[in-house]
Amino acid sequence: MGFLILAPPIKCTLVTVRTARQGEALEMGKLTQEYRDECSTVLMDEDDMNRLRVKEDAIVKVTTKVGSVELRVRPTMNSPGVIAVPLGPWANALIPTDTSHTGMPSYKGIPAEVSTSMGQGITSLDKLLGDLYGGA
Amino acid sequence: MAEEEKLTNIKPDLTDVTDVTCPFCGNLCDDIHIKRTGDDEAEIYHACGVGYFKFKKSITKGATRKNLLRKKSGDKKAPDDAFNEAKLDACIDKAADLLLAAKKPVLFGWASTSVEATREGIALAEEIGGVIDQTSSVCHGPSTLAVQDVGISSCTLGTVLNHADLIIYWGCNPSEAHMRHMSRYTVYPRGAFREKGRQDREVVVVDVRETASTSVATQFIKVDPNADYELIHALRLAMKGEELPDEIPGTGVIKKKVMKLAQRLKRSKFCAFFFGLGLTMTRGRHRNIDAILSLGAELNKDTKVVIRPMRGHYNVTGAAEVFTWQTGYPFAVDLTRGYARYNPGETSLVDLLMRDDADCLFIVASDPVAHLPKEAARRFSNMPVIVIDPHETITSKFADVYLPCAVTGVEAEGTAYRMDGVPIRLKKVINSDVPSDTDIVAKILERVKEKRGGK
Amino acid sequence: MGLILKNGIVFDPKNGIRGEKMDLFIKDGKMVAEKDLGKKAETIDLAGKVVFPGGVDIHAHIAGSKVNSGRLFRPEDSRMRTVPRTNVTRAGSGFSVPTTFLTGYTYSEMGYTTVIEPAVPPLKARHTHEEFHDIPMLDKTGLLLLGNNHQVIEYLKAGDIDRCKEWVAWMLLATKCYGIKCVNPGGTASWAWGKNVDGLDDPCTHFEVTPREIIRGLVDINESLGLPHAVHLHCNNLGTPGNYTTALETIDSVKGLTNKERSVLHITHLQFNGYGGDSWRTFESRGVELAEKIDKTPNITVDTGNVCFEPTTTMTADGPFEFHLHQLGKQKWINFDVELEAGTGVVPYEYRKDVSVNAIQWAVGLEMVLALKDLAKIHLSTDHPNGGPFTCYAEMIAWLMSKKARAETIATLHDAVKSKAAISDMDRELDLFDICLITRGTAQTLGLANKGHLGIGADADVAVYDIGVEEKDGATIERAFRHCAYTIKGGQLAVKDGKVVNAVTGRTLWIDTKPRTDVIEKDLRKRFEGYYSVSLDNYPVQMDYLGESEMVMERCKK
Repeated sequence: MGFLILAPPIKCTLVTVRTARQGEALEMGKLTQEYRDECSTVLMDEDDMNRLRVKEDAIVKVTTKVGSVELRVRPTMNSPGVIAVPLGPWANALIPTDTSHTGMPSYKGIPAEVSTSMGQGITSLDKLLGDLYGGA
Repeated sequence: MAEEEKLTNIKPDLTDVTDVTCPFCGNLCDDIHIKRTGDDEAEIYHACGVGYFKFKKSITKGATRKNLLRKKSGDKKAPDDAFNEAKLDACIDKAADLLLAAKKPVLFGWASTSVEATREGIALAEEIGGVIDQTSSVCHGPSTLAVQDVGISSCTLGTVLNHADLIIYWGCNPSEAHMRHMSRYTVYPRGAFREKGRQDREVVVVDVRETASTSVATQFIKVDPNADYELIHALRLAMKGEELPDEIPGTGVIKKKVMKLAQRLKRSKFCAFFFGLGLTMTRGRHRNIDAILSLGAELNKDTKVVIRPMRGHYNVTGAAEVFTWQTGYPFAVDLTRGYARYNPGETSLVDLLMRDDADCLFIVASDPVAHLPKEAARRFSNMPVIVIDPHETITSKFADVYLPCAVTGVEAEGTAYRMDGVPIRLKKVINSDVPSDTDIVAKILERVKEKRGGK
Repeated sequence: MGLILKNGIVFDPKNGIRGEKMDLFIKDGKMVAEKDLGKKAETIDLAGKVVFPGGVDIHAHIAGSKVNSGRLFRPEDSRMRTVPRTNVTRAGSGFSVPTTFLTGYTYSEMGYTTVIEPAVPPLKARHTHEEFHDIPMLDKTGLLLLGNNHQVIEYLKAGDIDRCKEWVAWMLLATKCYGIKCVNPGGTASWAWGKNVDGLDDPCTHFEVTPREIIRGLVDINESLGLPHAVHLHCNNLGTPGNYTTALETIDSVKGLTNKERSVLHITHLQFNGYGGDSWRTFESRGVELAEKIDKTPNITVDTGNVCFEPTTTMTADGPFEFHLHQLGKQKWINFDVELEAGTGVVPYEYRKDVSVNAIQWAVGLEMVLALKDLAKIHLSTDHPNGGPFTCYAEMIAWLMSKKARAETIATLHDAVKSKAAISDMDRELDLFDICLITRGTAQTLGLANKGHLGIGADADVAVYDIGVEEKDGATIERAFRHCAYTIKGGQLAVKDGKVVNAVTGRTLWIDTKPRTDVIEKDLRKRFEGYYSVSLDNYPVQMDYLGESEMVMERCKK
């Protein structure tokens, strides 16, 4: 194992999205591996991935003011500065609750930061759900 | 993607049902063909990938579904605490008790089940004095708020099919979220007055990133996140012949692109806008929708323009319809005082949870813990939760009572309203080992009335 | 258990009963002779109160897609009237567009027992029936929008009357509707291209068929099918200064056609086509002229479409008109085109006493009635909620019965009502028989043989009003008709002292038109496989949606 020169985190905007695979997976079942795999990914512009010095399927850490999760990264084109995470429990860990009195939280357009993960692996669903316990 | 897929070797047909309506997304495609070839096998034609899995899962029987009661009710230490299997009646009884004990129960979901089930839900909410809300409030609720301010010029999807020569998708990705939208209703089909189909139409996509939908577009406008409001107004100004700066401030879009879109609009005879959560979920929320609806209304002076929100769940439109015709309001309806009150931002689910202003959750046809911001989802761990859903979900892990129900549109009949408000009957294709949610909610309502000593 | 209504003062125009003190007998939901009452019967002593057959409202937008759009986009309307649940009734809301439960209760509290939803778009008929299911207290049916149906227009253009007839029959059966509705024929079809028509002989966009051809074609088909009600028509040029000429031409367009049982053309909310002048400034009433025309014309009936001075919601299948109103009044606007069939619009509106045009409109609706000799030809309506909510009927009855009540209102209106309308000089005061005729004679026009009267065999739908026979005070009349003393629906006591005591269910009425599907099969396949966005199999409304229902008529094949 060689020395890793860590690139600085990349500031970007997070949108949470529906994907075809996520739709199919949720119909297969919310507790299936397919669902977990799809919802724990982040789509990131190829050039941004290069600046972060990560390849496809690497684990990255996505952070917003609400919290952070470790996700598998997949490349996309022509979307510099925008990352997309499928709707689901991983995305939820990043979303603020303020609805501006409309009922609707901000699921898209959230300031975020992507950094290299320190080897923790993808955040597990059990950990995400476990975090929801212990009172408000 | 191949239109048909055989699951196993061909076995003798048991039933062959055509014109089945797919209960997944707001497209509500009603041309699905299901050919049963065995007890738990079928050939499924015409459905998109998601619809295909929906039917496949229900037809390919998994483990028998079980009613579950949490062993230690109200004492949730972790997800997946031990559950006991229970009889239907015991679960109904427990659910009724929990609802009656609550001061402000919230009944949420409804968008992925039938109108018939939602009718029972509204009656239950009224009987126990609760709040009833549906998934709109975290989806197209802002669109409804905007319609309540400025109205909307719209039409059925078939009108688009037959008349439209310009399709604009704004802040949505139909190729992934409404997969047959373009092929059934907008871009590709030949219409009565658009005999050449795709060749008779132009397609514009506006989004913050490239997607599978943008690759279909005649023109793709990439806009910076949270800047749609400014861009829509730039377009409104362009349509009125006003001067624009070389770059529209804050949007990342140059004037030339806006002018090009304006020119397309001016020469169009019938333009259909479709917009999605890219507008409802970003800065401005309903103001973004207000802007686009106002643009549409203005343009009708000179040409024909219609606008439709891309409703996600297959019956979110139907839930809003029945909420409205029964209570007067389409979502976030507070019936705690025996009459309807409506104030999204106060009576909507996320706000109720964040204010700790709910003390029991009754979830039907929805998985909010999988879809709410985590601080709101956290509230599911500190109050009683009743879940009625065809399969165990992430939310059912937090339930005190879990009642499996038939999959509406596969195992149970019902009525659903397509994204354009066209009501279609959902067929029953296979038998179910569990009752429908309509029946379950009706039984809970009956039990509540009995316990109250009422009718 | 039978029911005896004793000592009421009965009005029953169809059976020539004009304020006679008599007892009425009810058994198994029907009016019966005393000898058929059976041994057990309850008695209600009406103690001299006035008895009418249950009201039959020939035209009120109460159920369906555009009505619900009106509710949805006007939460402010729901806040104007919010009614809590009781141990008998469900909660409800809505001042001009009440929710379904509240619609049923409110009508019943006014003594109404049957209401016609006059504009059902075929593709969304299922929605109308779903709302019917949730309207208690009333029998209901719908009139089907066909005047801008693309297939109908194409058949008429080709002169293919036989196929057109079977298409109409098929559509009526598929949607479980009662009759043919025609709204701005040709105009709403043109609206799919953003256009309109400007008169009976202006060909519509793309099809190049005139409104006159559409109206006449549908009237001929209606007669040929032997349907119980005339073609129900919303005229072209609605709401425009000078449009009374369109009304007169439309009335003349069916000259010479006769039907022994009923009219051949029913013109709805005629007040909205009762205007002279050529601009808003020269706008004036032509109510009297229209009444004269109606008296002279044997084969038409009309309903008034009166306006009242309340905030309300306009909603029609006249897409271009609603856009026009939106531009005039700058209020929010909903537009909705239904593929290949129809179009609708919804716009809030408030009729104001200090606005000259509104004051004149008020006069037109009343003048048409007061100047008319043959009151069997006219029916009371507000085109609910377009001219005002149906709760205004009580006020309208007061205006028709009391010159003093009219004068009191005229004193509060814009002066134009005196100079541009005849109402101030009209002395006539209708009596209770007349009021009964214009609110219950609707059943005759609709071909509902068992409604609108109290003869043996009629449905036991009865309204009892606490009013003296000679009452002339406007406020008293209004109170009496707004909240009746009793309503009996289908033989059951539903309302007492103006409040619902028993939330009875009503029936959906429909007709079996026995279409010859083989004649139109090729065109059905072509339309549905090519151009509709739903499949043919999923289009017809299943019988399950009708709940309790009654087939009123079966087509006889000649």
